[in-house]
Amino acid sequence: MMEILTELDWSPFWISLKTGAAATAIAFFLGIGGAALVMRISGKLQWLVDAVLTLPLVLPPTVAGFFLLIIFSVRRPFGAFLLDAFDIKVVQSWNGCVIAAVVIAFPLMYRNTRAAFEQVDFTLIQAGRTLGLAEPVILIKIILPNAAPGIISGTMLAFTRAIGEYGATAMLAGNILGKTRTVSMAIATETANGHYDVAAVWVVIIVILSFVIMVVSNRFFESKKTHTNRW
Amino acid sequence: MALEVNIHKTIGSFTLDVDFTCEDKYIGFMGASGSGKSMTLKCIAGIVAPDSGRIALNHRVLYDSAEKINLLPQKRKIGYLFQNYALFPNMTVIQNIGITKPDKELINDLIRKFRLDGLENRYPSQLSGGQQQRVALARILAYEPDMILLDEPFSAIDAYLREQLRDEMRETLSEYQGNVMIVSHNPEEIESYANKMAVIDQGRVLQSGTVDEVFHNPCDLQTARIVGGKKPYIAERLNADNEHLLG
Repeated sequence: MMEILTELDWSPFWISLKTGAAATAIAFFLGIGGAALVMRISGKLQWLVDAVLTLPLVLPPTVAGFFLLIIFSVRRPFGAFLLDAFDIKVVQSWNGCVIAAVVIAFPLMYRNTRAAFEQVDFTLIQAGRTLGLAEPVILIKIILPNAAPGIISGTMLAFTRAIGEYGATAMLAGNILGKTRTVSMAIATETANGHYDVAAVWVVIIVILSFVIMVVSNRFFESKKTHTNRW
Repeated sequence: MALEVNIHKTIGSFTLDVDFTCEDKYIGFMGASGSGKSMTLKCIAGIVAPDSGRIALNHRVLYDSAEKINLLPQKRKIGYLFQNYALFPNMTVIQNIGITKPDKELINDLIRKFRLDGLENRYPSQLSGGQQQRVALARILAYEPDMILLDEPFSAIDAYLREQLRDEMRETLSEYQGNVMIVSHNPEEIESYANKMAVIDQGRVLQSGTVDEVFHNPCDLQTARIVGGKKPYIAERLNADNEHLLG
């Protein structure tokens, strides 16, 4: 057992963590922006936009990965443009890991934030408007602080989902050791090669990491709560 | 000082069709719940848009569907005292009052005037209903609006405190230079604030005029019911009307 740990290539762990952090940071702002946008549009268009933004959550990740591959392939216009103009390669690169994780984690951030926005008393927003506060000020000073618990739990879920992403990442970023092999990818590879013991080590690591994140976030909410309702 | 309101709005099966003007500082607005009182206030404040019509305050047009004018609530300079006060729960008393102008002197003045000394760093959830209302009014006055709308200001206050708070607020507002519109279903509240009033029912103004006129001479049975069948002179008239109706 100790032998496995000392001989383990830790790069998948750091790639997962880095991917999770970068993807969560991006999904954080996109999720808040998406939720704020959807709160402003009305009627049928709102359902439509909501459905599109939630789609990656309900689609099989490989389907999301397939779409991403088609968009970012260097043999297609957009992917070729990124490579020519900015020297950015997405397919089979760490960028691909991040983009795949953002797309998969985004709906969790977006939906939690939107649910939190729905809970903010609308008269607070109206009060802000009648007090002459500009809309961005209302968002930052009134809506976000009052929606904070939902936004934080969305961020936590997005992060745990992002570090564990497998399907879309495999399609878009591939499985290059030291470059795009994340912990999930390592587990699949080691298992496929019959190295159950190494796979088990990775499984334990990811279970502990996810568990710690959930416990920390639950503790955080317990400390914020004034009372607990137990059914 | 003049407020002109002429608005139409349809929401589902409810039609709001309100037309009145008022030159006085105070105007009372009376009606049962669901009559369109709050909706009218929200249209004046600009947080709800009417379908058509015109709203002007001191000859400044706030809304005019014919000329496609619809000022943002931020540009209207109209303070709104919400029924639940709408204090920002994430801010202390000082932060709530100072949200529009971080002017320390002004804030301290208001804190003193509204007897909120010692409560400066409390959050709204740590205040009583009456204290919350004072903070909300102080927050509006710090903004120096041209008009203040009071939406059922005492409905959430314990009955035994209502009269006291009513008198206190009237005194505070006596120094205020702008217009004040008070919405209520309580005839005593209307009477203690306003000289001019309008009675609204099912989205329409039934009668407008001086409070005396409306209270003593309701134009029809429904108006009499709304302004208060409990008052002796109105009850008398109500009975007369009923007899008349019974033939």
